[in-house]
Amino acid sequence: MDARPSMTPDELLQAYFEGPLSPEEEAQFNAWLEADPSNWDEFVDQLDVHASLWEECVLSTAAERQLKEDSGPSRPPKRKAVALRAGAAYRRARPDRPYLVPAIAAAGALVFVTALVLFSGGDGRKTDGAKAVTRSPSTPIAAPVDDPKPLLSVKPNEPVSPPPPPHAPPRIPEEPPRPPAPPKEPPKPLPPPPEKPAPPEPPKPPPPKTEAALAKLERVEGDVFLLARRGRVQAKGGEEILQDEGVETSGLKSLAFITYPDRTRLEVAGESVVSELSERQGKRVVLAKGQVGADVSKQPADRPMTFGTPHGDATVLGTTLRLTVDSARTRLEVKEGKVKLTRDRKGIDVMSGHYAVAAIGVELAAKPSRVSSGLQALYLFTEGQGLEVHDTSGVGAPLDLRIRKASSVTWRATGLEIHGRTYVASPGAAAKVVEACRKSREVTVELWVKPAKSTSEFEGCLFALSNDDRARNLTLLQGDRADSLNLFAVWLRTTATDATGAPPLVGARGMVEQRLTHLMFGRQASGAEKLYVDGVERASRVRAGDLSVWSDAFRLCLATEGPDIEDERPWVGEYRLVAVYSRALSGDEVSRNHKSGVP
Amino acid sequence: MDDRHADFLRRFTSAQPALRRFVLGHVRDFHRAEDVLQEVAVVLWDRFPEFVAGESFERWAFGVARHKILRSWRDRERDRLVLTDVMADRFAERLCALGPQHDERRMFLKACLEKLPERSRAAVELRYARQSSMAQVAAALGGSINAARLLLCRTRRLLSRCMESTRQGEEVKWTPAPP
Repeated sequence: MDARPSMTPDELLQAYFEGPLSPEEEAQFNAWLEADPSNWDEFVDQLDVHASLWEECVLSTAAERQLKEDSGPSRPPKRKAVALRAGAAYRRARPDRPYLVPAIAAAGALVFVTALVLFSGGDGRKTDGAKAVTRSPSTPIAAPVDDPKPLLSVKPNEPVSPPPPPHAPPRIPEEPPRPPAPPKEPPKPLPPPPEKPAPPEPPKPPPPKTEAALAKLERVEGDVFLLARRGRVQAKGGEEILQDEGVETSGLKSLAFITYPDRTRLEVAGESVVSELSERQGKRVVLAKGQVGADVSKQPADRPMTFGTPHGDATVLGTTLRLTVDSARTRLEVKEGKVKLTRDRKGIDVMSGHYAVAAIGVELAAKPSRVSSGLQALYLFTEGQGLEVHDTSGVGAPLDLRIRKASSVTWRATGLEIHGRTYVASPGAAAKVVEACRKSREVTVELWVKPAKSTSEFEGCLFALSNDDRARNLTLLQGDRADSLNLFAVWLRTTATDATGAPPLVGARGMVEQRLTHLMFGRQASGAEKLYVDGVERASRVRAGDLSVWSDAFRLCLATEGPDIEDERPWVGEYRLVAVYSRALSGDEVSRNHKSGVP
Repeated sequence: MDDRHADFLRRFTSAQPALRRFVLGHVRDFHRAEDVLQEVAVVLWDRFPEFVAGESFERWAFGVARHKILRSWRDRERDRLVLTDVMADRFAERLCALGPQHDERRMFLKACLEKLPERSRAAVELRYARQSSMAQVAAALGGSINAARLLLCRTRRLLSRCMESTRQGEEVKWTPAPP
């Protein structure tokens, strides 16, 4: 587990507002809240200002825009003045309820509720009219940046035009810096204000982009958005990306391919945010979250390409790499070339075939990358929450797993802990895995697990491609029903065995311990089967037959062998990694994955 | 608009600021919070005939909102609530207890924004008006993401103190918080 230092209350608060928190951060946040009643006051106070800023900066803009649209083309000018006057009039009429003013001026929700009430005809039921006002979850209430409210653009010395408060607030001095101190250099100039939209009649085409494009969205799949200067807009293939614009992919199956004029290519995986692409002292890509694969063309020596993440920077001159960012860490994997990864002024060179992790409390170090050839399914258990375990292999359609009984599992920062009977399985058949293995006639299953029990009476199913213990393709057990001892056993069905795959390949007794353990089982087309524990071969044999009898109707399941969780050998412990390959990995490759550790 | 409509609008309008804070405190994403708030409004109006006059509309609305938030989470499956049930109740109590005095502060927000130091104002504009990501805010301000986060947190604290001082009509000189 990575040791993350405690966050300060300010860091915790902002992290909470940005979300999501890691389980450790959640625990720390809750503990902080409960430690002192004044912490609740601080939280509610911060939330109040947070919400007020949202109302002031976004909702009021939306409400004003709504007024403009509602008033029709015959009265286009000075809508903003009308809106402000209306707000002022309301305030004069209701001096006892001053807090209503920002709500009325800003309230998209109030407009909605008023419409709801008026359209409902008084029968207390929602109507189509009301529904028509409800926007879809994917549509923001307001297009936030194409017409930013000028409130914040007022220069400090300019007269304040809105109604002055009864008591002019004092000038707020700069708060003295606290460790860590914010940067002292003056802020960079903000992006230029977005262009005003064309008047409604007659419609004019948007002004053409005159600025040279930095890169291009070559292709998009699923919901992809351009984080443009004019706001977050749905992106299409072929669209140009300008300086400082970004790209967001929404949904795990979404994908975006970005190309630069020098043929440098980025592949933005689903649920990712590339918050900025720029080119000043070289190309720069800021990955706020998610995963980006990059094939970087040779860059000038004095203008390397950099990838910025919340946890560090990766600097490249020309290479193929993959960057993955979650809330806690950045993982850099280099396939070709060399990349310099820096964090807190410390840097390491990550060579081809290696990876490194940048995170709080983790020392930068390059480790050999895991074997990827023949990979069919990969589960890293980094979700941290929810009832799904995602297949991150990137091979074919993801074979995600569902957790049936949430109360039997706990997400840890390091993986998924199983502490009760549950069924973690693919909703449908694991056809992509079975078909690939039948075709190659080989298979390897790899696990990083931490057993919670190691007594000789205990037996549990770690991994299975199976229906139950009477019909299976492959099952890896801790313990064994026939000879229940603290060992690992593999049951594999071939054309020369019955449907259960008996007899099993069993490792030496006494090998199960309550610690992080690396398990690999592989079978070659020749019939050679080997079981490795922590990189060391612990059992082997040669068996006749092949995998052509494997059923493609079985699911891939963890923690039990079948859906009957009361009977199918529930396992307890923590999963850190599960991988399935459609080939037998060599001894060297087994050793490489073992040395690579848990990603 | 009959009396019942007017009664509902009056109660909802009064409860809306606290309700929005309650939802935003759980959901955190601005746009999703507004979605949930709209769904809550639909349910509240739908079930308004069940509302017993004399009881707290806010508490009733918080209960509906919490149910909606849980539904919203279950639909997404990938998120979860941070605050436990007990803490959510405490959160609701705090918001209910804020009262109109606290609400009055909001009318001073705009003026206080104009008094912010330039760097703080830029951070607010980027994060809230332009809805830039924290990475974009950090890049525009020329610092780290962590520094931008701390700056925003301190800026909200500055605004809160400014609004409160102004509301109370105090001619006090604002004193920065100790480091």
